[in-house]
Amino acid sequence: MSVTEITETRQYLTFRLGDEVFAIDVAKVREVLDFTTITKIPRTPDFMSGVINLRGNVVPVVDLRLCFEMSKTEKTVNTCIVVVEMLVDGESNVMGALADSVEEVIDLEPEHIQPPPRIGVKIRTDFIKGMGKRDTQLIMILDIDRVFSTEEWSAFHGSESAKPLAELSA
Amino acid sequence: MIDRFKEGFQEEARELLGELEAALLELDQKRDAPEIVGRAFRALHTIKGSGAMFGFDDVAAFAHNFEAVFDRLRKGELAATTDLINLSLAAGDQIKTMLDAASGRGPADPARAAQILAGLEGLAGSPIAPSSSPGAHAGASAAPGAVVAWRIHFRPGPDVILNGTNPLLLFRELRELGPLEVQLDASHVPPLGEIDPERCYLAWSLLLRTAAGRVAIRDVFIFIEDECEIRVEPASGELPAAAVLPASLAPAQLPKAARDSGGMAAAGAAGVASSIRVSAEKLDQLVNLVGELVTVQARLSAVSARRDDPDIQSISEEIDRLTSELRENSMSIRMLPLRNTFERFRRLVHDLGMELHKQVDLVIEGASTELDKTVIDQLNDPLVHLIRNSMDHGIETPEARRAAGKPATATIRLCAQHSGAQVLIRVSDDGRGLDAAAVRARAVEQGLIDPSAQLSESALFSLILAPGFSTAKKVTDVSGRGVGMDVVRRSVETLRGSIEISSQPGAGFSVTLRLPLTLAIIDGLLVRVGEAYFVLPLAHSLECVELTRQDIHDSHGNHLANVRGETIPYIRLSEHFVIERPPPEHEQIMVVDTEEGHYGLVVDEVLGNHQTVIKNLGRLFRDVPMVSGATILGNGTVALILDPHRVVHNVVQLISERRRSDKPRRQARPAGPPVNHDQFKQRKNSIDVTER
Repeated sequence: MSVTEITETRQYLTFRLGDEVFAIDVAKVREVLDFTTITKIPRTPDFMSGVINLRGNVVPVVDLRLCFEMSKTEKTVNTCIVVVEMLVDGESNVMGALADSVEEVIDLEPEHIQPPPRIGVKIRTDFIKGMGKRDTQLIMILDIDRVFSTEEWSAFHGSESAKPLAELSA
Repeated sequence: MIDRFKEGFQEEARELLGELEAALLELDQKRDAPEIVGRAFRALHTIKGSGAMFGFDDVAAFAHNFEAVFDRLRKGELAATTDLINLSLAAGDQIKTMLDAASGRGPADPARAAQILAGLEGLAGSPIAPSSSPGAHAGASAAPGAVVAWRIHFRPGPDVILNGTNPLLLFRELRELGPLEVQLDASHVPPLGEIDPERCYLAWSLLLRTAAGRVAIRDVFIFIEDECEIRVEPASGELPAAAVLPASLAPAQLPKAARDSGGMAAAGAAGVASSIRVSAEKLDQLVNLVGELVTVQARLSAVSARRDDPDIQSISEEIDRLTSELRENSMSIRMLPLRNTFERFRRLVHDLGMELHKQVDLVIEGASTELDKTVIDQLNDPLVHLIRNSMDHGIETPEARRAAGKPATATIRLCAQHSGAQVLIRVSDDGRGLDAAAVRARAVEQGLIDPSAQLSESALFSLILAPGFSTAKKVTDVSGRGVGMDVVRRSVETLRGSIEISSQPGAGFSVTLRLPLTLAIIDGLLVRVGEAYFVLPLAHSLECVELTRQDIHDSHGNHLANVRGETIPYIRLSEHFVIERPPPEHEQIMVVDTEEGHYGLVVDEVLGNHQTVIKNLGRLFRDVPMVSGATILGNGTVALILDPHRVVHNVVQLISERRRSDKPRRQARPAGPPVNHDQFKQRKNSIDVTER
């Protein structure tokens, strides 16, 4: 069975978060940067890593691992920032996402992509567009627009921004 | 290609409609002012002419019939009445609808057009002859009369040729009215060496025998009369043209005539010749590029300061100077006077006054104050809401006003003024004012404040900015749903501005919007805390003093500093922002001016002035507290621009939140330590401790 919205062979950029391999449609990816200095914005939730200088433009960066309830990204030589361009509420936005390492660009045919299982996956299944398979490797294709949709974002905001206050009054 | 011209026409026509509207409203105030009628007529005439040229035939036809009424008004055959003005305003709107329809936005209603024309006809008292050729000259249809000789002195302004006027065509047009004799006056032509071929030095004296009246003759010159000197007078007797001319061109008279026309020509030139239309997009692009240049320039000076090379240093300094000039220049291009925005409200006040049966004068002050285009664009909505609010809630009916001993005609003032790097825009009325007790009762009812809360008057008034808050007893068409003030608050917040409200019961209500001059580049002060860099807007920074260990010791653990006799509470940014670093030897306090008074922000080092190009943090980060944007420093790192007001507000909020959650605990522990009367500072301290 294949995923209905994916009907043609597309190219995907694959990257790792921990042991898992994720993929983003290359059409959404603007570029991949080496890890640079990230300026943290005070009193924002941990998953908002901060902002970087991308050739004169200020681009926000998020820690995808924290979005997917993994531990915080530790900086290594392989750590990269994947700069993606996506639609948020109909507006185009550029954002950076931290990845432990970027692997390669692959072709995936629709018949090799399955809809996400409803249980058994560690991250929220509605963030996943489909599960690709390559040799024995399972690849989770992210619905990046969905991850950063306003509802999800405000949900993050709500849960995270309450935390520092709670710590304060403890 | 033609689309571009049509677009140009649309833009021009809309501007002219604005002018027409302004003239009509002015006419409403001063009924018998021929120059105002002339202004309205000219605007209409241009719409008609260029409308026909670009194929907007319906617009041209409508404008032609509309114009016919104004022609009679101009000739004094008709008086300007309230009905005529109101109908004319509606007619102006109809043209706007037609233009919208032509560009595919909404349908035009031909029935309405006919209805308006019928109304105008009724007022004019005679049918307006529909014209098959709307482009035809109005003067040609002037009433026939006896053939009279007219002497016309025509001295074009020096720039008419630059503007594309060809005097020959004007003469040809005059010939259509009757036989014409032309005599050239070349006395003003300078020596050959001084001639500027693009300027016009010539003048003409014309003798025209025609049955058409003076108005028809002046109409020929209608498009250039602002920049030319034109005198039309009946030729005296049957003297041959040659006999009259030398006298009329006597050298003694000419300088005087030139003097008379001097002011007018200069005004015309400033308004017409020296401005060009540029798309807003191009301007935005220019400012973006200048912003990038400023960033790169900062890098260049950082590099040149590191290298000991006098050549590079002098180049860098020169570029530094040029960049800041370029920056100021390109920012000033985007600065527009508030006049257009303000004048548009005359219509709103006029219409609302009719609807609500209230007599209101709109007084506009400081309309020449200039503000960045982006700010102006976003200012319209909040001002509409504020004026509606005043009209509906603030101002009483004429009867109630008279009963209260006030003049029946109310006044709404709309003023703008500069205040440092900010512009204050104030909307005030002399209506019934805000009832503090009612606001309070309503706020308690809606659970916004505690019934026992002690609030200052301004804090109480600021509650009306909350969404859904309305003291109005009934919701009207105009306002009362409690949405308006929320819109005002939001718009002003996105503009990084603030709102102040003041009111005197029975005497009036005033709202002041405090807005930044520009949204793109500000002067800032660069400060360092640990490894992090921040920019404080210079406009909010008062002074910078050293915070020594002795000071800290002397204040006994309170976060208070003594600055020139003033006790100032301070906030340690390193603690509030949770920046970990070894404690520095010296710290500095930046004293900032916020809406809640003077506060100190403690930083490790003040690095100095910094031209700050404001970069947005992006949509996903737009709700972050305390930071209003980011900028890129010379070494490529990102510095955050702090909003001092929100930093202080955030700290105060954290403290009050903490105090609230503290309360139950204290009650559960009755044997606890006595509550310090200096509770506020105590709390502030303990926050700092737990945050570490």
